[in-house]
Amino acid sequence: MSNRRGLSVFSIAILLGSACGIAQAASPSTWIGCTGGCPARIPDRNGATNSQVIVDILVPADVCSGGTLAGYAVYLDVLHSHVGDLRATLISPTAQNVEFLSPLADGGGACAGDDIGAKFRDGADVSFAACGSLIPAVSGVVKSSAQLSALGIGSPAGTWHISLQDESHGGDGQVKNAALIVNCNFSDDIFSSGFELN
Amino acid sequence: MTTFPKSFGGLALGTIIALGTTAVSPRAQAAIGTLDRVPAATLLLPYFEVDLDDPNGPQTRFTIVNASPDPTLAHATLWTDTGVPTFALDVYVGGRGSVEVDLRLLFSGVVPQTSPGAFAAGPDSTPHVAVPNCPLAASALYSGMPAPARLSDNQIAHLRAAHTGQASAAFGNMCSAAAHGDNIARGYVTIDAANSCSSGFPTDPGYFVNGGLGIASNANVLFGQYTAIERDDNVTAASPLVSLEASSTDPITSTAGSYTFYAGYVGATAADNREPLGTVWDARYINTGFFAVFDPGTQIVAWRDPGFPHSAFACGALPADFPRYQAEVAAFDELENPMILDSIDFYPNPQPPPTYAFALVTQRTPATVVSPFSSGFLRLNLNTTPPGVVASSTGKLQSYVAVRQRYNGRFGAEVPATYLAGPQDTYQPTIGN
Repeated sequence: MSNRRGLSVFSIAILLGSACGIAQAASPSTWIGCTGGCPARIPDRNGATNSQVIVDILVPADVCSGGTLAGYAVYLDVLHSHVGDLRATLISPTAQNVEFLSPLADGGGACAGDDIGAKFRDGADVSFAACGSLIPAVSGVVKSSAQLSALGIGSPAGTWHISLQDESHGGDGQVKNAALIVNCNFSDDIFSSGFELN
Repeated sequence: MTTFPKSFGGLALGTIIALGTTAVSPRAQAAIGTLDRVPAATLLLPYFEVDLDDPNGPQTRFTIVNASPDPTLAHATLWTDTGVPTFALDVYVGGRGSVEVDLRLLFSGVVPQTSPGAFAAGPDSTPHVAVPNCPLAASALYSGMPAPARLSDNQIAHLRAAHTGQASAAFGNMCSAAAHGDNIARGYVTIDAANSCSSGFPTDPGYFVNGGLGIASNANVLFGQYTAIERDDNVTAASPLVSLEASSTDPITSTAGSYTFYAGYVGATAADNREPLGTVWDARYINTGFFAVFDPGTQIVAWRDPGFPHSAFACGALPADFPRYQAEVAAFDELENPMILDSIDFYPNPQPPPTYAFALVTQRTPATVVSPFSSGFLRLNLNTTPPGVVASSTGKLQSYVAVRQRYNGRFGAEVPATYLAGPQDTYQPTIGN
C-alpha cells in the first residue's frame, strides 16, 4: 500500500510560497493495494463457461481522515496474452458495482495485446481500445468504461473487491496486483483568509 | 478472438464431409524417416528465448494442434540449451482443438489450464474423455487435469535460474545451462502425445515403452507452430513445430540399435519409436551486399541431439561434451565458390582455435560467424561424436536447422533448412564427396 498523502504537504508548500490568500481544496490520492488474493490466475474462458477471479482491497476507516471523499480510480497490474478479452468490475463494500474495464467488440479481437499496467478513472482522454503492440499494451491513465462516480461519496471504509473475467477463449494470464485509488478533499482552512498574523 | 458464425461452421463441416466422400486420400502421405510435415507423435520447438528483464525483448509462443477428431494429451517438456529437462506440463487438446502456450507467461508462473471438462466437444470432434492419472483440480471446470493456480515462487525462480545459466536451489545450487551474460532464458521444448498425465521427463525409465505403451503414446496426431516475437524491433518470425512421427512397425523406428529421436534416453533400443531428425542440411543465408534486405542478417537456428540424459552440473564450466564441433560447415557464395569453416592454413603462423559455431544443444548463430560472403547457402554437416552420446558410435549426430531472416520493423520469417541426409543414411554429404 502506498500512501500519497504527501502530496498535500507539497500543495501546502506551494500555497505558502505564493502567499495565496484564497481558500484551496487539495485532492491527494491514497493508493490502497491488494490485500487479498493477489497474485491470482485469470482462468481462460472455455465455451459457455467463464470463471471470475476476485481480489480484495481493505480500505481503512480513516482513509480520508480530516477531509471528504472526492471519488475513486483503480489501478490494474495484469499479465495477460490477450487483454481485449478482459472484463473488470469494482465492487464496493455495499455491493455497488462499476464495470471499469469492458471487453472489446469482436470478442477481444480489437486488442490482442499483452498486459495491463494502467490507472482507470473517469474522464481520461485515452480509452481501453487504444491499446498498443508493446508490453504493456494498456498503460498510463485510461478512461473507465462506466462512470466510477456512480459509486457516490459515501464512506469508503470496508473491503472492496475487483472481479476479473476472461470473456473469450484463448489468451491466458493473472492479476499481479491491483489498487483502489481514493481521492480525498482536504480544506486548507488555515489559509482561508490569507496569513493570519494576529 | 474471432468466432465464426454457426452457419459458417455448418458449411465447413458439410464441405469436409463432401471432401471425405470424393477425395482419394484426405490424409497427408506420411513416411517415416523423411522429416515430412505431417501430424506426428512428437513435436520439437528447436529453440526459444524469453527475455526475463524486458517483456518487449525476445519472447516465444507456441501452439499445439490436434489434427484428430479424438481428444489427446500432449506432454510438453522444457529443456535447457545443454539438454537438461527442467519442467513438464500436460495439455489436454480436444479433437480438432488447439492450445497456445506463451513461454513469457510460463516463466512468470502462468501455466495453461486445459481440461476435458472445460467445454463441450465441437461438431467434428468426438466427446471429451477423462485422461488417466490426471489429478482432480479444485475447480470443477478443470477437473481431470492438473490446474495449478500458478507456479510457486520457488518454481518460478528455478525455471528462471535453470534457463539462464544460474545456480538453482532445486538443482542443489548447480547450473543447467550456458551463461550468456544476460537474463534471457533459452532452451527448447519437446511435446509428446501421451497416454496419461505425468510429471516425468522423456529421460525417465518407463516414459517410452515400445508400441507407445508408456507415458508417451505413438499417436501421430499433433502439429503446431511457434513464433519468435521481438516487440522492441517490431518483428516476429513463425515456423512449424518439427514433426517426428512414431511407428512401432517401421524398421527405422522399431529395430534395436536404430538411431531414433530419443535414442539416447532409451539406450538405443528404439523403444521410443520416433523417427530421427536429419544430420546434414543446406540453408540459404543473406548477410550483406546487394541482397541485404535483411537487417540484422540471417540467423541460423540449430538444435543438436543431447545424445544422453544430461543433469545439472557445477557452475563455472560446461559438461565434457561441450562445446560441440561438427564434421563440416561450408559456405557457398552466389558464384558457387565454397569456403569450409576452419580450413584455411595459416602456416607458418599458428592455426587459430576452431570455431564452435553450434557449440550447444540449441542456439541461434549469425550466419556471419560461418560465412565470409554476403549471401549464398550453407552446407551444414553437424555430425560429431561428443563423449557419452549413445547413438553416435557411427559418427552421426542428429540435428535440426532452420533459417531466421528478418528486417526489423517490417517482416520476419523462419524456414526449415533443406534436409539432405539423416542418421539412417550411409551417405553423409560433405564438400567434394
